[in-house]
Amino acid sequence: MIVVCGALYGAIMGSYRGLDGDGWKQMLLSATKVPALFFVTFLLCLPSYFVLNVLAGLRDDFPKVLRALLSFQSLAAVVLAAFGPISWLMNVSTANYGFIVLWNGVMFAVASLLGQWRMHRLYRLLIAANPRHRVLWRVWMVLYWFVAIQMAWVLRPFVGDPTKPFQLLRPEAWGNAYVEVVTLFCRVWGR
Amino acid sequence: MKELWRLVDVLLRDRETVSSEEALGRMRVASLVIIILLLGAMYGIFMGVYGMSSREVLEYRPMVSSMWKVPALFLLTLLICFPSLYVFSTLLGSRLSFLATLKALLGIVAITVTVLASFGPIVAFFSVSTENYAFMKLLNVVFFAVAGLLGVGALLMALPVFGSNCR
Repeated sequence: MIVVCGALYGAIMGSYRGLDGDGWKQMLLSATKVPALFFVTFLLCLPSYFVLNVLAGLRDDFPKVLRALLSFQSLAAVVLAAFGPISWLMNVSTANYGFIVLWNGVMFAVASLLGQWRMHRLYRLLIAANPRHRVLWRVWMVLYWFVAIQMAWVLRPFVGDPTKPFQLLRPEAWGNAYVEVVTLFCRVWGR
Repeated sequence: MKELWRLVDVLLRDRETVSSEEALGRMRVASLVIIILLLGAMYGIFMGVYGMSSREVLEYRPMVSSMWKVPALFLLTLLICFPSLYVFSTLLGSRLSFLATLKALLGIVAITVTVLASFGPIVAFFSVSTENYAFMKLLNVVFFAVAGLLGVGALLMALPVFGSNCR
């Protein structure tokens, strides 16, 4: 579900350039980038989260924890796919690239919030059984978002600016999202 | 190898193993040292990805050096501190034998290194996607601090049992 729905929304995002020239390449690439964003982030965070769960004495609950974590990913992907037709309409009716990027950012934020809500509903049962799950849930949120933000930064562009040539990744992809934010703050409030 | 992973699992799952003399008796010093060497080296490799990938030409030597430096950091620190720790704990009345005290501390270091190694994939990902050296240093310091605090937590859990063995 994560792969199919994520790829579907990715393809819609990537279709902004149209299908002429390299447009299909962007579509295909974005269709792989969205599920990769979900899966690779999840896989990178899983080992440390497993070790922390075992250390907290929650090893026996881990299958349920895993189900809750995956429910976040799957619901977010389904919500994104459901937003697909609206995003497609925005793609074909809007010439402003900045707006499309912002629109997709909002769609991702809404999908993530709904996914988080679903995950928390499953986690509530675990927390009721053992309050230590509450701490671990917060740890997961920090760890997952910390990695996910950098992953999204590295995998840019998802939409693809039609005025620029097709890019697999941005030339400045090997930068750090957090360093960029700090630099931006320094530029605004510094000299 | 299976035995080593089982030992890691036991250490993580039941941290009281480092504070029970009976459980300590079942553990082998060599197994604990091998765990620290392997998992420390694993984190060192992930940590060394930055040194390798941040240069214009791929350089494998930073990775090799981090690979032995991380386990060396933990084992040499323990080696230096252990004699004084053992002498003071004996003077204060602990009845734990030399070997049991050594195993308890190795177990705590093994827990720390296991947590650290579990952060390895995240460090490797940031290493390949970050050019900023200060950020990478800070990230590694945070992960070492988290692993260290959890290790200290295991030590604090073990302390009352050390105390119950006091004369």
